[in-house]
Amino acid sequence: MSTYVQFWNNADSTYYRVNFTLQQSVLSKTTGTITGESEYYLLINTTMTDPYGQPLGNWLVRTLADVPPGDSTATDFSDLCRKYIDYFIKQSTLLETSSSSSSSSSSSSSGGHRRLVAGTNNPNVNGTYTLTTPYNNKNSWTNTNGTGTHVLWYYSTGSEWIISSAQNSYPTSTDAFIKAGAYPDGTYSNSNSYTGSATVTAI
Amino acid sequence: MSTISIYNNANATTRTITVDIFADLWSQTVTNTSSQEMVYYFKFITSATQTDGTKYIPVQVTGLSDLALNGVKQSATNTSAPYASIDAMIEDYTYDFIEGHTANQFGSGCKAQLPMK
Repeated sequence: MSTYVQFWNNADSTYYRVNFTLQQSVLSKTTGTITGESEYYLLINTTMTDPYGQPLGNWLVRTLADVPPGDSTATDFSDLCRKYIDYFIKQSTLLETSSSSSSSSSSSSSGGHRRLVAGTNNPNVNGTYTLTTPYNNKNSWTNTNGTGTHVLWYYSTGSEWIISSAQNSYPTSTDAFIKAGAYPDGTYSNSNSYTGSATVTAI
Repeated sequence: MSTISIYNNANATTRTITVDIFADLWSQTVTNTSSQEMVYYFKFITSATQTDGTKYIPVQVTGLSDLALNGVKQSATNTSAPYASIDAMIEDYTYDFIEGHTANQFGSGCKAQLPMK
């Protein structure tokens, strides 16, 4: 492998890697025609798995437009690699944690919960998370209220989704939380102190 | 990592260029203060020399807009368009090693580089 980034996941005491490998093959450069020329491309994969233990696949990258699903064209190689790291983390089980919840609506939770973050920062540490791009894939949600900081909490002991109303800050015990509906894939549109709406997709 | 072999018919020699992707912490400011942010880039290395015996400096490429001639022009053609693919980028940088370029080639402001020996 050419290079890799390694993550420590405190929840299961395991290192996970994202591998970036430059590969060279004799591939067709035109549809249906083998030209015999070498082609260079990046192979990106990870040791992380999805919540069902399935591999997250091998991704062949030829251009800066070859980004994860729903993402925008990368500006350079650093941006490209970060997009894949973000994508793998969101798709994997690394966000699973048994830490205590700061939610004020904790009555539905009797155990651990999964914290899902749509944002660009490290999701495993407290801090400010900024949603910069709408995400439509699983483990994420689409912000319809402009950019802001939102943290989505899913309680693994039930089917209830709870969305923090906090913007520009990590949710605290004083934040208002709004139930997003009884179903993981339900659409939330009612409003309390939160003025936007969010469509939540199932994990 | 990929190794590109170049055969010189006139001298019956084979030279190699090694290209790979790297990840490093790079200083983002002139005061050498690390931003603690990983930077991903391609690096070209060769033990070949220019026709006057001068060694090549390792080349780092941060994106498809980082063109071979001073970052502003492609080497094989007089164009400032970004490379269409990783493959095209590697081909053009390899061309630049092999063919060299004149000072300010295509008005790029680059320094001269002799062809590969």
